[in-house]
Amino acid sequence: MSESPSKTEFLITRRFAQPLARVWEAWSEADQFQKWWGPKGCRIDVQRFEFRPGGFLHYAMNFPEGPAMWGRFAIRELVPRERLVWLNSFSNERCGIARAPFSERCPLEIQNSVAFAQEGGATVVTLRARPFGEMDDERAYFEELHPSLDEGYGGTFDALAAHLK
Amino acid sequence: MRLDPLSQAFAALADPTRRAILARLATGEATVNELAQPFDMTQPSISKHLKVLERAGLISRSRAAQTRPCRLSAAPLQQVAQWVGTYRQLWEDSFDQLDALLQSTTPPSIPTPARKGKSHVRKPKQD
Repeated sequence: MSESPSKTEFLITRRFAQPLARVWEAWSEADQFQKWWGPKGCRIDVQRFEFRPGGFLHYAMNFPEGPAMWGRFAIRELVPRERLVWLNSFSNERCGIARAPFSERCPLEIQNSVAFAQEGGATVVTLRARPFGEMDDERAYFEELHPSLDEGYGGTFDALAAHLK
Repeated sequence: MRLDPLSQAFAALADPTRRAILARLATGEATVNELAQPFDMTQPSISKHLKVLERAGLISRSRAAQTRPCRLSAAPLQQVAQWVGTYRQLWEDSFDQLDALLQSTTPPSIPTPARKGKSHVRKPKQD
């Protein structure tokens, strides 16, 4: 992605000790993918795994407390062992797109772009994420809520409380 | 498995009654009785929701007064609200788990039972 970094872009890089083929397999096979993807303590149940451009990955996020939440990846680009681009969103149980259960203004979709690179016997994974096609209001949500801890909780919290409903 | 604070907050927020309780508490502290009124729910079931919210650190309850009024705690909500922070946590968790998986499984040179071209279908168990 060539746009200049903004405060709504997120970047994370991780080096894995295993070769690229092995790391790619963990992304591209449903039974492996659901073992590692997702927040800690959350059990992922993959319902649909169409690992190709235009395909959907659809999954339930099960937490020990509370109802299941659903999410999906809509895959846009896929170059095996090289690049993966998808739109991530919450969803309903039929794989339809849905708003975040906790906010009306949280952008509907986040675009994730991952580059895979082999370095010796290891693999470097670089992920960039940013809101996709966000409305002004959704952009404001980020900008208002972007970490600025020194300012205290006031504004942030008021904005969130107003949108909890 | 122990949930990290963010996952705990997410799990707590996934329930509409609990979100409504938080929205009510955003206007000021309230007792269990006051919270139970608009929901047409018994006190014990409201108390159950309050326990989940309390464990997630989203509310705190006074030990002093006998009615133990509840009040909102801002910090975990703020963390959930910060998209970038949430996303970082998600991917750090995921990459830790991927690392553990890669270390615990056989390399691709040793063939494993093939399961190709089949979409994986499994009914989730509701907790």
